[in-house]
Amino acid sequence: MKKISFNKPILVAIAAVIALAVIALVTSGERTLTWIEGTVGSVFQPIQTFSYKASTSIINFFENTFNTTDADKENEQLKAQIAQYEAMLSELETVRAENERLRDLLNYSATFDNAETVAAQIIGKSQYAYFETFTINAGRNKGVEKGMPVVNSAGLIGRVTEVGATWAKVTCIIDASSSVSVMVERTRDYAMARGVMSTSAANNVLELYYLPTESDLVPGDVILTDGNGGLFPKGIVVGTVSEVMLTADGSSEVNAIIKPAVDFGHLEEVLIIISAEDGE
Amino acid sequence: MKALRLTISIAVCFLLDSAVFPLFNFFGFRPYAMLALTVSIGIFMGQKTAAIIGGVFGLLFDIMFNSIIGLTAISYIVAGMLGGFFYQKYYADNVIVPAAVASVCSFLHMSLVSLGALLSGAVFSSYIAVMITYILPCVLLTAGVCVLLHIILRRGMKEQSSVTKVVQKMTGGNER
Repeated sequence: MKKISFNKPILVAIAAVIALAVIALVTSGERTLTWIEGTVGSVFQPIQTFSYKASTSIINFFENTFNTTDADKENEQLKAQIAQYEAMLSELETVRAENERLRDLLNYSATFDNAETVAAQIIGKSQYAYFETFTINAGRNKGVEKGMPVVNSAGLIGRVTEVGATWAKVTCIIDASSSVSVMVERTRDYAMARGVMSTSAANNVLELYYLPTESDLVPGDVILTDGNGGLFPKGIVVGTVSEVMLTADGSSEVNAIIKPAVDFGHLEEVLIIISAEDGE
Repeated sequence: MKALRLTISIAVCFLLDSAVFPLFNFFGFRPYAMLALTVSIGIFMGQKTAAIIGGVFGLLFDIMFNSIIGLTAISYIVAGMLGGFFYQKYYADNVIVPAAVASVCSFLHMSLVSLGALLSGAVFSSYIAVMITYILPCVLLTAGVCVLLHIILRRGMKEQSSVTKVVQKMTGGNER
């Protein structure tokens, strides 16, 4: 036993086996959040919210500064004044844009007559391109539970996959492991939409599968959720068809490419549907 | 002062990885600052310190942002131990060794994450395509960040820092 405790390679191997076993356990089927994870998430959620907002403000300021075309062209006396006005403008633009987004969210939530919704802000994103997930600042304290759909005024974003006391993680529909049961608005054909891995969330698309071979899908057709399975309410916009690969003999595995309705590269606020309308 | 420099470095890298790089990246490619820092800490302070710091912050990232718990923690622990393998074995002015170690560690880390994604049900074209289009650019960026961090840290890391001494007291033995 002493030999094992001082033998580093064996210690590392034992630690690796234990860790892989934990990962296998974690990735096998459904799991619930442990109290340790919930506590750590709740403790760091305010810090993360602040740092994410600060980073967003700084990045927006630099983007607005470099977008201005009439700055720094006049004499040196006006340069400092212009820079000051630009800082004020950037702050006002941020507030105005946030106001517009929240107004859109409020108007959109009003369309869910019998459904209760909760708005939340994104405070963190997954570090890897394989996983399109993000963290929001709403958890059990606001009635959020695992499996609840997440939307915004543009359409379907994803669903809640982990919930803490004051935070939750959302898996987007563009995640490579995500599948959504959908239907074509025009033809009412049922199909399945699956996320595709991409290095940039702004360029992500969905692939359409299991569409009937006789379907006359065309680019521009709107894809909605069909409500089957009870995961997502019926009628939420998923995206629009950008390319059709459906063949009469069904030889093509992918039937179409869907451009998501939501701009996943610029998400800041989301809406969680706490209780969906029945029968829709 | 050394502990303060290390604490600030850890805080900055945590902020970069959690809030800056997810928003501001190069066409989706981004470096992993905390991984690079863990390698540098391993080279300056030894395996145990780096493994502990890497494990703690890797686990924190997993809990806060990632889907699979433990994946990042394992990678950061291994990065700390690999970096610590070169502890007191070469001149601190050399930045090639940290860059090389950071490259290897980030490649292993990204490969492990892609395996985790595959086991979680993700579908992507092929590992080779992912490696060329995503993993290798991230590896290069991480190596670059490691070089920068190494240059910043080496000025104050001539002796063992107080953090290493605390770790030694906790573990009740030598660093090696």
